[in-house]
Amino acid sequence: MSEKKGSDPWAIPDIGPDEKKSEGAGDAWDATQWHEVKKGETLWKIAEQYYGDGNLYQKIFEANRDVLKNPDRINIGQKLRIP
Amino acid sequence: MNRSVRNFVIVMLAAVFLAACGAGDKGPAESALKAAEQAINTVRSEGSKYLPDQMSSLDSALAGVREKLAKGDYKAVLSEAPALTSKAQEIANAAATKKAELAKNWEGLSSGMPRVVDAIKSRVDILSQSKKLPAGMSPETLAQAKAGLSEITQQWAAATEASKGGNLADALAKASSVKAKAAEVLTLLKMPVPEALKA
Repeated sequence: MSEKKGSDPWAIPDIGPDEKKSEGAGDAWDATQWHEVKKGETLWKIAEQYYGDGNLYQKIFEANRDVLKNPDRINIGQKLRIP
Repeated sequence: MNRSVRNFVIVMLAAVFLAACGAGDKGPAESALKAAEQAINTVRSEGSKYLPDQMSSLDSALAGVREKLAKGDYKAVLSEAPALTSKAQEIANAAATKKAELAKNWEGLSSGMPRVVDAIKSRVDILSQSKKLPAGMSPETLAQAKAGLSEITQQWAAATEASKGGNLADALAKASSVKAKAAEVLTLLKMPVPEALKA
């Protein structure tokens, strides 16, 4: 999988927030790192930001299978768990 | 009877009278000490575990009373031994309270800490597979995080073992260093530090 521009299948549709996940509010032991998707971001870019390597995007996808059906489709405002 | 013989008889009578009075206290003094010893022996195990300083003071006081009994100071024994029994009961109550408090603290730790360790392990595993580390993270930093994770895993195993052995105070002391190390590693990995690790 490589980073693409223009007709990027990972391009984020400019729509409102999708279903938001609980961020473990009130759980003093919660060490989960969350990322709120911003305009123009893809799982590849997010993986690059946290892991330095976009190829590891599957790790994020797998950790968020409950809210992501397709790694190419993430929505602005979605909160993703970063494993 | 001359004067000196009369004085001698008076002194002897007084001595016999005092000895008789003292001997009368011996039995009750021994019983009071025995009761104190029993009360202290009952609380010794839990007291030493949860309130070691107070238990040590109580043992010193008991040794003092034993010494007084040996010297025949029965009145002092009768006066001090009941206080030791009361103190033993106080320690028993305080140790039970302390034990419940430690158990509650351990309960929170034992359910929370494994989740923190899993989060660290997951990130370390993923970063180990990365061809390039994220901005601001050097290979040395990752190596430090890996070493920290290894330390956390070992210390946490030791804390869990202490808890299983019934030594909650020791388990919590060990867990305290695990918490500090986990916060340090999470920071190295640029991950959020849970509130429980900040306390």
